[in-house]
Amino acid sequence: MPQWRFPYDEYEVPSLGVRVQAQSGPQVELWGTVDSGASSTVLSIKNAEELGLGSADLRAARDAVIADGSKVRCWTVATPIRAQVLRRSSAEESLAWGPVFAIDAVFIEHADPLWGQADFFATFEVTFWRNATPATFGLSY
Amino acid sequence: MSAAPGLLKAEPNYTGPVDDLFSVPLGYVDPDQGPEDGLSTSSIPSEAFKHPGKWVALRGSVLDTVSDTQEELLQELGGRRSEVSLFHVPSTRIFAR
Repeated sequence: MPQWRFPYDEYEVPSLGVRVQAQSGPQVELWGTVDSGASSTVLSIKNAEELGLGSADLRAARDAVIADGSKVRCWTVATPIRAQVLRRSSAEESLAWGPVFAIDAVFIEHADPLWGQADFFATFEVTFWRNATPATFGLSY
Repeated sequence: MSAAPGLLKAEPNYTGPVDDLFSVPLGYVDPDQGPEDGLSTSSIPSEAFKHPGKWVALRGSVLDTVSDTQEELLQELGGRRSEVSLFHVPSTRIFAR
């Protein structure tokens, strides 16, 4: 299987750049955390706006429980959303890597993107080498 | 290496970067993506972490713009939004974020 390995960021977090697009909307590049504990991809309301989704597109969903145990309001959208992973070229450019995949995002008021189980992890085999130096994580498809 | 079974192979009529992710089928792999296997040599530049709590725009691996809030950053970028990636620098090394 094709595989690409990405370094953890300076704060030792598996951060990954992904370009995201809602149908008929603009593409935006977002950095988020590869988070096996997130049920699905999590984006913010601001991200929704960037994707061209307005308040009329947002549908209230059941409150979500976040990492500290508290509940937050969340929304989903009916508009299909797709994404593609970005890697760095040797010339330090962003290049698309791997398949175009569908995102089943939950939107909350304030969040940095989380790439979660139902979509991101359902697309890629994800391996973490946190114990290595430097720490890396790999995606295969 | 080839794509796993069930994933779509690149078709000859798909050339260049995909400008519209809805113009290709799900599972589409860009034929110009370069080598299928490798290691990204850099990620978010160290410079970005000198701005804890800020929002930064990255052009590739180069720090482009720094702002206090996402709103300010988007306003400052204007039409250049499509050229950069946004990253919220954590305010602390202690997570969750």
